[in-house]
Amino acid sequence: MELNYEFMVRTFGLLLQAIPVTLKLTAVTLLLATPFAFLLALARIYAVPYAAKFASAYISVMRGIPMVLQILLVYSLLPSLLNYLFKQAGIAYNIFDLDTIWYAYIIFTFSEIAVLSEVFRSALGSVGDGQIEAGLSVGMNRRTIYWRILIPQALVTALPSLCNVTVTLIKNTSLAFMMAVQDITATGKIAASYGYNYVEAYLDVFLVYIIVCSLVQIAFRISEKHLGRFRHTSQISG
Amino acid sequence: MLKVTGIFKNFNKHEVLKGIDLTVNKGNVVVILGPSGSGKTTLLRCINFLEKADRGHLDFDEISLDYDTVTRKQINDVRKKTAFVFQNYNLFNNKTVLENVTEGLVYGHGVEKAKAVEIAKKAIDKVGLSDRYDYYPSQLSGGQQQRVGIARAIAIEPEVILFDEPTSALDPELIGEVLTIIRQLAKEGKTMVIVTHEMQFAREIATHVIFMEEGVIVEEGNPERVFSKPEKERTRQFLSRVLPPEYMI
Repeated sequence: MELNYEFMVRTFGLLLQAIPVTLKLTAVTLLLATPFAFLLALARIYAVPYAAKFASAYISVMRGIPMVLQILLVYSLLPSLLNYLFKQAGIAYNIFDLDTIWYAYIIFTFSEIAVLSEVFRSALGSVGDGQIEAGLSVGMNRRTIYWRILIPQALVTALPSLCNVTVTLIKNTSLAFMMAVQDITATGKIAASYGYNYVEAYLDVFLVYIIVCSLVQIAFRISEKHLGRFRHTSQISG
Repeated sequence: MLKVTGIFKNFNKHEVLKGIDLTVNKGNVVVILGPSGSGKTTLLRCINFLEKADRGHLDFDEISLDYDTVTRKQINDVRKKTAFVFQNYNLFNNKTVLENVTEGLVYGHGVEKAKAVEIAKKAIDKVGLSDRYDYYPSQLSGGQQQRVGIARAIAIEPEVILFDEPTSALDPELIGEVLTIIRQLAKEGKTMVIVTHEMQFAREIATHVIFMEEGVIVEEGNPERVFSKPEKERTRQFLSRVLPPEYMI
């Protein structure tokens, strides 16, 4: 079998142009999911009545549903449902005009909330109550203590897990092709379909994901070093 | 100045404090002694609400409150008048020595940043760490960390400083440097409540000694009397176990 190198180079260029879509899917999802995930983590840490129960139930359920199934369910049900509701409410907006990337955002966000809240919960727990008490004892309130003391430390602890979450999400967003979102994978598939150059296209897709994920990992490693300055110092015993 | 009466505290049905009364006058150094599990630390933590007592009354200058009906504002008011030195230092690990001290001034007491830095430097100099402003806690020894803990406490100029076993987590050779600073504070007339197992230090520094066991005050009085002529058998037993023989009369 011979590879069509000219096609590979051309497609590789196309795929590079699709990188922003994949990154956008990842970044928007993480940004949307973070505040909700944080609240769920707090609910569990402080055993808030009802909210803590809801949080653990939500996390178990979300972890139990395959991503593909979530996409199939939401993507096939939600538009029709919204369309029906809009009609009932007399809203003239045609839901089928909506960019399908929004369904991708919604589905990925719901699933990442569950993943991130567990990451946040363990990271916040790792800092320990002593520093909260110290903050309270010098008159600071809890919110300030969280912002200035706890979260900066928890973030550093969480970075390796967050790197994992991000890389996994980048790969999962490839499922967005099911919703006609033109990300890296979708672009590769479309390019391949014209002349049945699937092997070449998939090799390209493979390369592009490797490059993107490696860069993300390097970025995380640099930020861990930078944000974790306070603990990367030689320990003096005593 | 500070007076708590009838403090009760339960942890899961285990009664840790059974009606404690404690009075601290200005300039007093009150030392609380007693075996582990006697409720000393819990009492200290109830004073500034790191632990919430179930029942009891607290008077602190113009503040008067009951523990079962206390408001958030009253808690804040008491905390502004007190500072706490922890057994495990509890420094803010992501902040430098200087920031550890300014943090409470700026974000707890609303002191302007530049002014806070000035106050903080003075407090840090006082504990002998003027060459460590920009170090992180992870770069300090235990003794140095606890000295930062003390600097953080004195910087907010509290009316009472609460010390919870300030040397218990330290290696023996580092205890001295921390005790020296507390002695210095006593000499300056700072009002302090100290829970400690350092008996000689307690005897030397205290203006008032309290011996606690199983959630009640067994005996209290001036240190000379409590150490040399304890009235209660329980106090005598405790002291004979923890003091070297030459201290017992």
